[in-house]
Amino acid sequence: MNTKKILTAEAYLGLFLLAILLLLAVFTKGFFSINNVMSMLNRFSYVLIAAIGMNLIIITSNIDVSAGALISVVCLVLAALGKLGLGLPVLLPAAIITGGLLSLINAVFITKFRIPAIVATLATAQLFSGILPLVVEGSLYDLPASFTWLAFEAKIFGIFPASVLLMFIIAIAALVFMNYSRLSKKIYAVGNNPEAARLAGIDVNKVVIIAYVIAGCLFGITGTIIATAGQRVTTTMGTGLEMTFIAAVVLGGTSVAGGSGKILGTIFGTAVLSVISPATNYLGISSDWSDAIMGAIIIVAVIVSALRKEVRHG
Amino acid sequence: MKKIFGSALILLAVCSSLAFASGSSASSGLKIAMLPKFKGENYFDAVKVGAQEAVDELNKGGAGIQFLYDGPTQDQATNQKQVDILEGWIAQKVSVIIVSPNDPTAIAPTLKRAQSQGIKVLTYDADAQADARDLFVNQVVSAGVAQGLVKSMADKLQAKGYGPSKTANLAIVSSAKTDANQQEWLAEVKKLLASSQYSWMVIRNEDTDVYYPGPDETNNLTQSGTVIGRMGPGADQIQGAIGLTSMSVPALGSQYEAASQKPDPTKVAITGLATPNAIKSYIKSSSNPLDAGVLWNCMDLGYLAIQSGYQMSKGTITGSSASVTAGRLGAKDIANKMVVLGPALVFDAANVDKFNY
Repeated sequence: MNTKKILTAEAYLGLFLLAILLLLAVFTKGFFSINNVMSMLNRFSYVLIAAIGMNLIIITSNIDVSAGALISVVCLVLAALGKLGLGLPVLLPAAIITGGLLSLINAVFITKFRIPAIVATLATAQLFSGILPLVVEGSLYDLPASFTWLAFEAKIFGIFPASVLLMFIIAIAALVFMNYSRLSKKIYAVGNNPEAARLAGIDVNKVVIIAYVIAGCLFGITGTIIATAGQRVTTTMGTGLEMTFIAAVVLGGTSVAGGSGKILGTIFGTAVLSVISPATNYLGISSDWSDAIMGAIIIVAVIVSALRKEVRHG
Repeated sequence: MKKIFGSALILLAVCSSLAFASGSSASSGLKIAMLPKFKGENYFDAVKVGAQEAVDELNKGGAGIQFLYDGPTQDQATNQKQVDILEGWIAQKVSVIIVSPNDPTAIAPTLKRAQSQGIKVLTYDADAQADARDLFVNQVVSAGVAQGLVKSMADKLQAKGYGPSKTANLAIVSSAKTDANQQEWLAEVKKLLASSQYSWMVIRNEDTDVYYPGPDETNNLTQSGTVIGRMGPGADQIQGAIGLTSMSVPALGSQYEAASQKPDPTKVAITGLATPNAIKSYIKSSSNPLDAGVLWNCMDLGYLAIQSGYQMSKGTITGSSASVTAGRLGAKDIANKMVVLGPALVFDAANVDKFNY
């Protein structure tokens, strides 16, 4: 199969992205201005960091639909700390720990109580988003300058938002981890066939728990970037984001059945999704279209990948 | 002797508790319920503070008001969520409902049902279908809002070299397309832009230069980021951005701060409807082009709504009265079942510290 000269799914997606970018370079003015590129990169960064985590979960043949609500919780924890005047050196670790712990709750429900991931995370999503309004009424605002430092001040070479640096570090670490670590082999094995993995001596539950906790930590980092973007944090900062993450992962060629999926695909998938909304605006198309266009792209990507599989198998 | 004293004490306690119970459930136990579009955001919080002030004041005078306050969270700011809350209040037979509807027509049947059960229905902040409420407590007529916004933007842009001889492109960041207030203000803004006085400010393409991020904070930030990216002095860029909600204006301010290559603040301007506290730091910063905001006195709006609701339930006023005497605000005229708080308030670096909401 490898000898056949067909491009990988990631390569197709990469070419598609390139085509969109070329199209935009020709038909729009100002799309590649530094500001627009940086603002897209910022969104790309926080979606990608979480999507890498989501990818990990989906590879184990599980899912997490509580990620958005989890991020909302992280954001409010950060806002509460930010009110005290604490800066990023405290906020980022706090976010990572909070994210990891909340995700651990999901993992425990799934592995120890044997609740299907979609049901467990649907329940915790309600739980996370349900608790917040009991604790704060809607939002925390008038947050100090120390809170927004990451978004307002932290610029690498005076241009790149620090969130992009975070994203680079995490993306490279993920690429290395998924390609070379023994744990990643186990993660793929668990997703492929948990029974076979168990017989091969892999502690399936432990692997799933580790995947969720790593993902939770990544959700925490995403939460940090989202929360610190302004002086107000609402109880619904993350609402609906889980679907964006899942969409990026699926678009990137990861099978929801588990066992397969590459980080590179997730990177391209996230990039395509991050470009669509500003692209429609610069192209002079009403924003009402951007969701529909994104949906269409995902459908086409899934159909194409299904057809390719059929060709290869048949 | 001790025994008699003891039983007398018990009797006294029972009587007083009975008196208390009947006192609170009968006429003086007035339940006034207030429903914002959504909870927990500077604007509606400030309105609530004013409402609470009016309740406390009236209760000091022995009104015995029980104040209920509830609303959807921001991302669930839908008609359905509001109807759910209203149904609960209708079931527990509150006396007055004061609501800021997310959808003026969809909420009407529920409001009419409340009216048919003898509940006084008032709208505040945003109106419902006129036949579904007894009084609309309007903060400012929409022409006044638009006038405040457009004039404030024109002043800032003219100071930066634009005017009849040099046109400026505008972008508007609204809420959702179903929002009655924002749509009305937008229509009034467009009317003003069409007048000869302001015709040098233009919205070039309504499809792309009017943004509808809805009530979601992250969405507001993302779309405001796109707007900031498009701002600059060029003919194909945006020179003035107007936010129509108290979420979009701070989002524009923060996205300007976050921009890597900030558009020259001497060439672009940002303004909009916002609570002073939410944008105070941007207004005071000389390097941020967001340097004025437009609003009305939010606390007074809540205060006026409660005063009007209370007096309607008491029968002191009706929708067809000529005016309402609203405590510290004095008399406010009522016309066509609508009472108007007053003109729009423009605040900038000079006076922003006077407001604390």
